[in-house]
Amino acid sequence: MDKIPNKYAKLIRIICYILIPIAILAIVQSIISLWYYEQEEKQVKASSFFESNQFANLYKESILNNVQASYIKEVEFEYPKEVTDEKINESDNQYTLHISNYYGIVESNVEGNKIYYKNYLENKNLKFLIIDNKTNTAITNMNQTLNTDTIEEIKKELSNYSYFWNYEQKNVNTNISLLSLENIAYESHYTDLKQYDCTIYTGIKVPLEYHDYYYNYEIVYDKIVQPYDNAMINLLLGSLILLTCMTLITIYVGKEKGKNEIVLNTLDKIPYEIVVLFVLFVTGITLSVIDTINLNIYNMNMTTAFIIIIASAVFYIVGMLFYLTSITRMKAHTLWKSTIVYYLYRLIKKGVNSISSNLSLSIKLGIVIITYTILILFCILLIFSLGPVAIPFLLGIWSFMFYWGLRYLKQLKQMKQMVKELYEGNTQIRLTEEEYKGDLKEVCIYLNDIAGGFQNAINKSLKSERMKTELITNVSHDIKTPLTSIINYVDLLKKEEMPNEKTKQYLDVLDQKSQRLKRLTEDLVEASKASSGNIKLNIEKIDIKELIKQVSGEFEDRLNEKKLELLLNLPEENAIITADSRYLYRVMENLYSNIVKYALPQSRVYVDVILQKDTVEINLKNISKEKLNISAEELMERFVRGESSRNTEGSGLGLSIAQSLIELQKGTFQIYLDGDLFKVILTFQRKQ
Amino acid sequence: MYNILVCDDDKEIVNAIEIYLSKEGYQIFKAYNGNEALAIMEKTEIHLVILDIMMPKMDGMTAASKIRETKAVPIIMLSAKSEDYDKVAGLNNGADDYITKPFNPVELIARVNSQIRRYTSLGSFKQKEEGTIYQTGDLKINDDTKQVIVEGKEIKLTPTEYNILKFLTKNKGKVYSINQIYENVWEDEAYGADNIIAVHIRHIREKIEINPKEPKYLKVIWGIGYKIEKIEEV
Repeated sequence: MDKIPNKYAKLIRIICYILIPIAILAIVQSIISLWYYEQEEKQVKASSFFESNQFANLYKESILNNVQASYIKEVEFEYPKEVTDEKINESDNQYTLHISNYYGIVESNVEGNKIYYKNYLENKNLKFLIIDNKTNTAITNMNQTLNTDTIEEIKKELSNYSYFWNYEQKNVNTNISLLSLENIAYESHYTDLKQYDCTIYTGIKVPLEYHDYYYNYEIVYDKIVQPYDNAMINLLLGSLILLTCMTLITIYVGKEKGKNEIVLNTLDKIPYEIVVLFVLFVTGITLSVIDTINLNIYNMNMTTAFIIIIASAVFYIVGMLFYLTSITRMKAHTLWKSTIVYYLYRLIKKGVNSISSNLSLSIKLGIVIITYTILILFCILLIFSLGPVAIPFLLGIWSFMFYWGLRYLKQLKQMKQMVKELYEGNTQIRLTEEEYKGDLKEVCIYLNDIAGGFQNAINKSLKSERMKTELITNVSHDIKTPLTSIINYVDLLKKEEMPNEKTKQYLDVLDQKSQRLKRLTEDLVEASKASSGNIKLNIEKIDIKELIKQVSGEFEDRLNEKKLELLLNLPEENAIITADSRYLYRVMENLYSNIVKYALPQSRVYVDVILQKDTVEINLKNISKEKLNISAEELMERFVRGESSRNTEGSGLGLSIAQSLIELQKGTFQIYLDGDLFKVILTFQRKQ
Repeated sequence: MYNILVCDDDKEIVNAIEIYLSKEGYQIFKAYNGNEALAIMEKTEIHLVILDIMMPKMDGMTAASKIRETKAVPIIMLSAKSEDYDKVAGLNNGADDYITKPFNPVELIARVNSQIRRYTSLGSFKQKEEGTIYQTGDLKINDDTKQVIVEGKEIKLTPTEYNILKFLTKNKGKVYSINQIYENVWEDEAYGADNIIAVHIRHIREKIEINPKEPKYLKVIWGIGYKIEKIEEV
């Protein structure tokens, strides 16, 4: 899925890097615009700056500041005589005071008043005339010398300005609707103003002449606040682009053409703490640089703008790099591993491990106990000194100890289980080595090795057993062909006239031995197949009672020949087991023909079927005609017969085949010898 | 006079078979590999083929399938391979019978005779019969005349054996336990039946089967019962 996009990962990233700052700018612009608009509570939308709350607020403040400034001035009036303008004519009358006087006052005034002056001085577009009725002094920033006539002139002129606001004898006269008496009567500005017994004439000429707050505000208003409709769209569009680009970058960071894994660059390999520190450092530097410059967004010179652009660019690049490296590390799962803390943790762990592997178990146990004791004592001390606050620490240590002990016990149990299963013959079982630590891990590795060794040995022996069976089968095929000729020609010879009795006897020997050879080859193949389990079983439900009757019927004549009396002792109920009927018959056939061959003639043969709760038992008992001077175990070995001589018929494989076949069918085969009594017991699981 | 083709890479075995079968009155043709056998069959009319499996040049399996492409003659496989799957493979490859080495000459002759009878008198026997007939494959019981005929040969049975065989043939394909056979044939409770039935069954098998240890008709399901195999008419 990722293959095709990976090809364009780099291109997509570059596009995103370019789009993101554009989107951010758009968002910032629209947010400012929206914020300004929010300020305009009363009006839905002002048609121009001069109709807006912004303007009204500025105007109000200017008036108050000017009034206050004029009163403060009065207090300090005596002070700066030497800087007075040459236009001042003190002797003229007390009205005469020129605006330029204020400059001197402002610059030499005490700190606290400075703001007021500055403020009103900067707003040069606002022309004013303030008359203090108490002292009968007046100030103005109109470029005129004041006297009684000029005051009336100024009053007249100001009232002709595009926007004016007059205050005379507690009455407001204005053409700015937001500043009419009914609108401002309860505002703090107005109530402040009322303290002073003064007459105020103010006005603003449009278009504005000076670069002051009014001018700046107007520009901002026209450029930013007015295009409100676009602001919403810009905000949405900008956010969408930003989100998309960030998502794309998050997806495609660390991906390279033709590579499936995350590619780490040089930056991603630097310890994470160093990266974080660097980011913090750069942020700090940039912020302090910005802090030193006088940030006035309404009145910015080229240097300030340049510094701000550079600072923003640095912010963007550093922030982006930090984000990218964090995401890349997270995706490559190296965020934690690339930290110095992790490196130290590894170093300490390695050190502890290398020390602990050389220590004896008792010393380790000692260290553990001492560590816990110290920790718990420390906690108890904490409880005494700090009170119940320390209880969580104690509980934490205890639960860790409990968890540690529990894990240890659990792993011990798993090992015990594994050894038990191994003992029972399940060589497939393995422990997960990663789950274990320290000494237990060592034990675990050895146990797995042992299990593997067992399994190899079993596989090897199974393989060699199978090869043996194949070899025997192939050899027997090769023997059978010449044997066919021997048997056939012996048979043909027997039909010919023999010169004397002796030759006839010799021929009989040949006949017998060739027949025995035939049986031997057949039994050999069967024995090797049965003992190696190389037989396909067809398991079905079988009634042992029926089987015994059938087999007994098959052997009736042969038993009668030897004058053997067969006594069957069968239960009333059905004796059902599951087995392969053909192979079970092969076993019974072997056992019955053994009886015919080796039982004492004219004796009794007992066949009992005994039903237990869960098992069915078949007992066959007969008296041997020869002395049995070997053990039951030996008797079951291949090629061993009751008597040591090998004259009689039979291959000596019968019992071995029978035993293997019974065990393949999940039954047990036992032989008991008691004097001349020969007893075979077959046991099977009983089925309903 | 029927022609029999004997094919085995062991010359002595071929010669021995020739001696046995000549005495029975058959004309023997000898081949020592599959190619020779096929060459002879093109020239001469053969009524039965005895084929060894493991032979040089062309083995018996291939030869059998080649013969089956054009001819319907009976084929008896003769091989040292005695596993069940070897026999199944041979029979699936077109063989009609499978004898393992070392074989009993008497059995071989019996099987050859049986196959020849089947091959030559196919279908001629059926129309003559009258009365109640129970049949499976080439085993026929005429309940009116109380005759039992296997592969064209009449078999002598005792009345008990006849009744058991008739019951099983009537219900061919079904397995009956000793008690069920007793109850159905004697029409009595199966008390003390024990192994009498088993003995009778063995006697019947010895009479009707060529090799009683590997019966074709009367099969023993050990631990379950007995049945007459249901063989479809050819």
